[in-house]
Amino acid sequence: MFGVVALGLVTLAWSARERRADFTYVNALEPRTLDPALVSWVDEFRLGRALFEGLARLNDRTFRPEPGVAERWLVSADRKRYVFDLRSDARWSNGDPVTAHEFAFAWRRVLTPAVASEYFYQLYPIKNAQRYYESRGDRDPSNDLPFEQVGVRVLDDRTLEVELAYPCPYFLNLAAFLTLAPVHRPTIERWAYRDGVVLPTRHLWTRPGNMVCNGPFVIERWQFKRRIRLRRNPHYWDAAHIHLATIDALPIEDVNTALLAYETGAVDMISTVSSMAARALYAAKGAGDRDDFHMCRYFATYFYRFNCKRPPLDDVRVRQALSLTIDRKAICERIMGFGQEPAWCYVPAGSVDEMVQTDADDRPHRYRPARGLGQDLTPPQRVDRARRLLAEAGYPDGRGLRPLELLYNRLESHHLIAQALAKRWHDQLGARIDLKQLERNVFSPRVESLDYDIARGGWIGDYMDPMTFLDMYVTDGGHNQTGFSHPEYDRLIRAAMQQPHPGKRFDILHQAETLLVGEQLPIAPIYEYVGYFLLNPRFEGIRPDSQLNLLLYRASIRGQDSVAASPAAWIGPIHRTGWLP
Amino acid sequence: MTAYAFRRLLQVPFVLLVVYAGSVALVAITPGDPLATGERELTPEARRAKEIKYNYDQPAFKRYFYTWPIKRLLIDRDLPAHRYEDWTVPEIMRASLPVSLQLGLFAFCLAVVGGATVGILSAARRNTWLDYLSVALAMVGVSVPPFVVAAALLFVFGLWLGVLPIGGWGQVSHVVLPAVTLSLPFMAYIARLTRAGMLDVIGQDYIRTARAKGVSPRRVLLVHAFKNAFLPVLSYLGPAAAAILTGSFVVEKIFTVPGMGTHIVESISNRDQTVILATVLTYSAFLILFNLLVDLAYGLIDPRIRLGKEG
Repeated sequence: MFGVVALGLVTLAWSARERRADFTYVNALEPRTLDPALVSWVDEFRLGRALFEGLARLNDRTFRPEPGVAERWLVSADRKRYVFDLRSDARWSNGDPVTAHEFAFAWRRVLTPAVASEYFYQLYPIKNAQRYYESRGDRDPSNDLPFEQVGVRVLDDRTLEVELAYPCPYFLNLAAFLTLAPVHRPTIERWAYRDGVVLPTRHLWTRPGNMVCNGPFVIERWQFKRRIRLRRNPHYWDAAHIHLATIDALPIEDVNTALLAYETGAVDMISTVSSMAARALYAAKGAGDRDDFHMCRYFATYFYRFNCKRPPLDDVRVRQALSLTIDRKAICERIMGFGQEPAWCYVPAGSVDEMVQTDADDRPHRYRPARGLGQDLTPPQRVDRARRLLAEAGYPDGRGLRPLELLYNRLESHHLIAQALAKRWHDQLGARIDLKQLERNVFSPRVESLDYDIARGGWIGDYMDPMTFLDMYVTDGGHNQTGFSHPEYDRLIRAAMQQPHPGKRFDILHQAETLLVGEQLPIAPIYEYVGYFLLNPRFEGIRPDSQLNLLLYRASIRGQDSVAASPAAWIGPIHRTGWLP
Repeated sequence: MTAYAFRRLLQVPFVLLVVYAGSVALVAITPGDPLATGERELTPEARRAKEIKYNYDQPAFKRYFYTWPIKRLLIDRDLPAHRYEDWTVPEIMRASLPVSLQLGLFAFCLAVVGGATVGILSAARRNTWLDYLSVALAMVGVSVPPFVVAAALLFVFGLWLGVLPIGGWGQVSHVVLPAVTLSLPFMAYIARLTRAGMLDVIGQDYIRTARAKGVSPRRVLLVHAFKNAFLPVLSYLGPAAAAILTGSFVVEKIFTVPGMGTHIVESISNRDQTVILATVLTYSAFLILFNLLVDLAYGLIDPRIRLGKEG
């Protein structure tokens, strides 16, 4: 037996003591996948952005799109036609040039339902993309739309023309979104996908050695649940401005272990800590310590959904009463307690500064968040009004109101907030609330099938525009999940989509949001998330932003490398590269 | 005894089949959507694509008893995991089972050697401070839960002294803390069993005879007494080995050990049906194997136990 133990020790000791990477960070969850068409969790996006680059990439300071694979683009006056010129030095990690064909190929793949991409809808602004996806989803091949009808045209190897269905002011943000990144066609056709069919070896293409990518880094090793090692891609067009040679991503799931690993210097960055630790770090930061704890407003809202199809919540007065009664301040301060702000509107008000869009004359326009119902009242006034509304709806002091079932998925803070809400609604309105904590795989299907009364929700914006929050509540919208349907709301969202002028468009969206959170309330916003991460002061270059992108490939050792912005770093209004004739 | 071992081995496939059928029944009736692994809601089109990928378009019986275990696991070897879309179940097992076995083996040896030593010592020095100390430590070892031990060890050796790594896997130093944490309750229990067994045996006639013959006290204790005192410990080792292997969830999670223990709990909360069934089968196989080994070891240590013969 001891022989076996000795043998085990020797094998362990032998398993190469590899040198530490230049930069090591905790990627809380083992990635589900690294396929850019399929990634959907924040952790996967972070890794994916180091491996793949789309037509545009995010500027590391402004987090607005700047030229990526495309070195410039022209936009038509109606903002529905884009022509991208690809840079000649954009290369795959095996040295092949990145061509316009590979964008068309990648987008076609994303729009193939059999690939099961979760972010395929990011391509919907492109003309006929939605029709293409839907025509391929049924089993009847006779009505399949040919891809030639989708608004993507390869003019030559280095020119891509995109025709949009509507003037989409955030299309360049989408061009920088990972789902729209190109994929290396020979690699994909060897392993994953050929002629509209997913190959059984699909899972093998993202492995080190197989994966060919075009981002700042390539994948060198992927040891399941142990470590992912990235190495600088020498073929990356901007490799001169990538300072790290290697990055390690460690999947440490236990938040306390992750914090210990950071505190002992074993890892250089973590982006999840326990809420207890977050409160302590927040307090320490407030006291002037812990400069390594970086915080920012997060483009995400914590809210509750009301099932608008089920009585009594189909009555707008009941929804208004419930929302008015919520003590948002107490939830932010006493339950969360590390910088969260009460949310009255749905589009995170803290992020409006990052949602600046310029018109044809380069005049900037800013989104104006809506005023939520009761936002201008004092807390006692809100409760008074809520009681009156409930009485008008036929439930004075909660009499006659059936017990409402409140669903939430398992997490300590969800649990505390649900309890606080239930108590408040009971004490102030006389409503009886049955709390039900569910596992995620049970919770999500119940919410999606509208099998609930009240359910916790959260939404992280996909791109920096109010539309990513607002378009979901159109009738039968993708993530509506409330049964909410309002003709005026649908009309406003449609009108905003067709409006090419950013200022007017923002006004229409403001009206829509006012209708949503000021009157109809299919949802009750609770708080705006904050983003945070801990970064070893030895490093710099990773900056906080509203989407917590944490651009890994921008990290550098402080003082060692010059971190002057790369010559391509290009800050300014997004249309400056020119207008199409 | 060979015949006995052979007969027991023949039973293994049937036991496994029963375990598998039971797990399938539980997996099939558990509520929850195994395909909801991403951040966004699946469209009907994407759902249909995933159903085909995971064979949910087939009748349940065929899926669970033919397509998954036989066609995709044994023949094609591409049975996909739900939560980890870029990995297959055989790959996940290959990556994590050796880790759990290594960790389990160290913990097991630590528990047996440490437990037996402490037990012998405290029996030999009965009613001295050494005895009281080891009894007290054994009580603590049995009653303090592993997550407390793990946190304490991490703070002392990882943070304050900084001599051992916080977590991870791949070097000898990575094994120490998780193995100690994992072995502690078993070590304590073995120490108590050994002590009780030794005290029981020491009073018996054959020990007095051995002493009278002039055998050295050390030899009496370690050879004559220990051999018999160890029998109750031995019968505990089978279940202990299985428990060490399966009970490592908390330890693996805290120390970020990429073993199978985490899959047991995670795959269930993820409703990762293929991984659940694979882990259950693997663990059952090990459990059966350990029990068989212990039964055989009885016969080797105590010739009075005749396996497979009547009377």
